[in-house]
Amino acid sequence: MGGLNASLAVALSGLTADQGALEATSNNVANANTPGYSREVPVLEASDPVVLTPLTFGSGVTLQSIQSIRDPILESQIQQETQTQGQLSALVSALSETQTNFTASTGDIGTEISNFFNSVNQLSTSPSDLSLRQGVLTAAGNLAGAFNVAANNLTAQRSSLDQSVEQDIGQINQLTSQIAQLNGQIANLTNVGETTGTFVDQRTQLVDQLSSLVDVSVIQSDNTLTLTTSSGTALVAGQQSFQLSSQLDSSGTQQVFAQGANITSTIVSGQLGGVLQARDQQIPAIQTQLDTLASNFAGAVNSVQAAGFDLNGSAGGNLFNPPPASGTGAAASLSVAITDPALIAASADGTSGSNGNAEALYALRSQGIINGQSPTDYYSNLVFNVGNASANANAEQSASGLVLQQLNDQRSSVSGVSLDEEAANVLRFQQAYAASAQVITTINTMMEDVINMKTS
Amino acid sequence: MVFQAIIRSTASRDLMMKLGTTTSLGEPEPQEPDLTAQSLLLLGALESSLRGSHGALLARDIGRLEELTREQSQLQRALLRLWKSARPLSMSNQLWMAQTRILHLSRVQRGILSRLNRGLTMLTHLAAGTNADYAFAAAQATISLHPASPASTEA
Repeated sequence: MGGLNASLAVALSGLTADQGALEATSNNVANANTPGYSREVPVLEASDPVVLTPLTFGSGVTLQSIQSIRDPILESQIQQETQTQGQLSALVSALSETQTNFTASTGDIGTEISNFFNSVNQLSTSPSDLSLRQGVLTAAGNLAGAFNVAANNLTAQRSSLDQSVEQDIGQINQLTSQIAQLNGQIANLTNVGETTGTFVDQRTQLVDQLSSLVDVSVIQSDNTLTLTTSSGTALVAGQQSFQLSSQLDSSGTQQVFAQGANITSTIVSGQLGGVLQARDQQIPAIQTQLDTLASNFAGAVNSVQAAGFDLNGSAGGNLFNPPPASGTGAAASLSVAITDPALIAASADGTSGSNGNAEALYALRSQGIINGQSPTDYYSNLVFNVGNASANANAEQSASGLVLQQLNDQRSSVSGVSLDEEAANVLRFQQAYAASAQVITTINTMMEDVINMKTS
Repeated sequence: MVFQAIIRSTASRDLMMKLGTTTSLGEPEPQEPDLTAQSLLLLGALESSLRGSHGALLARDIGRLEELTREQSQLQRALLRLWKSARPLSMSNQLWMAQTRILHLSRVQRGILSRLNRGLTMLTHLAAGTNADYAFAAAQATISLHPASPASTEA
C-alpha cells in the first residue's frame, strides 16, 4: 500500500489536473469571439501505476497537454478556396472596369461605327454637298477618338494592375516573414513541452491571408510549416522566408521573381494570380481584338477611298492614317488623315455628281471585312466576350463565396467555442476539483487521527 | 389575375399542371401582357428552385437536390410549352432581368458542383493513401471511388 502520503499525492494530482483543465476552459470562454481561435481541450492521462506485488495502485492523473481542435483537411480546403476567392475577386474587379469601356453609350465604338456609316449614307444622296462631306469627316474623327479612348483606358488599366503586382508582392513578403518567425516560436515552445495553440492559430490566420494573395501549398512536418507556391517555389521553410521581388521587363511590365527566377507565369491563383491573369491574358486579348477591328476597318475604308475620286476629280487618298503593319497599337493611334472635306472620294468616275464610291463605302457596313465579320458584328462579339467573361467570373466568385462560407461554418463547428459546452465543462472540472479537495481534507483528518493516536 | 391567384395558392408543381392543362385544352393563346406575367411567374419559381439547389448542394442533401432538379426540369418544360404557344414579342426589362438572374444562378450552380467535385477528388486521394501510384490520380479523373490496384496496395 502507498500509505496516506501516497493518497495525498494522488488527490493533489487531481487538483493540479482539474485546475489546468479549468484554465483551458476559461481560455476558451475568453476567446469565444476571437477570430481564428481554435478551442482547446485538456488531455488527461492516468499516471503510471505503482506495482506492489501482488497489488497495483494507481498514482493519480496527469494533464498531458492542452490540445487545439483543428481539422487539417478542412483547413486545406479553406486555404484552397481562399486562393480561388482572391483570384476571382481581382479578376471580377478588373473585368468590371474593362466592361465600362464597352458599355453602350453615346460615344462608344459601336455607336460611332453606326454614325460613320449613316453619315456616308447621307453623303451618297448628295455627294457634292460640303456639309455632308464635313459630317463624314466629323464621324470618322469621332470614331477614331472612340477607338483611342477605349485603347488608352485599357493601357491605363494594365498600368494600374502593374502597380497592384508590386503591392501584392510587398504584402506576401511581410506575411511570409511573420509565418517564418512564428514557425521558430512554435518550434522553440514545442521543444520545451509548452502549449503552442495560440501561436498555431495566429499562423493559420496568416496562412489564410497569404492564400488570398497567392497560390500556396502547405506542407506540415512536426510543428513546422513549409510553404511553396503551387509550382514549387519556396516561400517559407522552417524559420526562413524567401522573399519575392519584382522587376520590369523589356515591355515595361512588372515580373515576379523568386531567388533569381521569373515565376510570373506560374502564379495562377490568389489575388496576385487574378491580377496577372487580367493584366497578361484578359486585357491583352481585348486589346488585340480592338486593334484588329481598328486596323482592318481603317484598311478597308482606305482601300475603297483609293478606288474612287474626290471632289476635285483626283484619285482618292487615305481617310484614316494607315495603322501599323502589325496591327499592334492600331486602336490607340487611329486618326483621320485629311481635314479637307473635298478630299473624300465619293465619286466612282471622277464626276462630282457620282455617288458610286460613297455607296461602296457604305456597303462596307455589311461586308465581312474584319476576319469575315462585318464591323458591327465583330464589335458586338467583342462586347459579348467581355460581358461573358465578366459574368462567368462573377458567378464563379459567388459560388466560391458560398462554398467558402460553408467551409468556414464547418471550421467553426469543429474548432469554434461552444459556450454551452464550456459551461458544462466548468461544472465538471469544478466538481472534480471539489472532490479532490474533499479527499485531501479526509486524508488530513486521518493523519491527525494517526498523530493524536501516537501522542495520546 | 386568375393565373396569379393560382400561383399564390399552390406550389410550383400545381402551377405547371395548370399551365399544361390550359394549353392542352386549346384555350385561346395568352395575350402579350398575360404571357409576360406567366413567364415571369415561371421564371421566378425557377429562380427560387435554383437558390434552393445551391443550399441543398452545400448541405450535401442529395434527396432535396434530386427533388429540386426534377422541379427545375418541369419548370423548364412548362416555360418552353408556354413560349411554344406564343413567345413574348418584346422582351420586357423585367423578363430580361429574370433571365439574366437565372443564367447567373445556373453558373453559380456549376461553380459549386465543380468545387464539390474537387473536394471529393481530394478525399479519394486521401483515402488512397501514400501507397497510391501516379496512375491513381489519372484514373480518379475519370472513374471515382475505384479501388487502388493490388500492386500499389502491396507496395
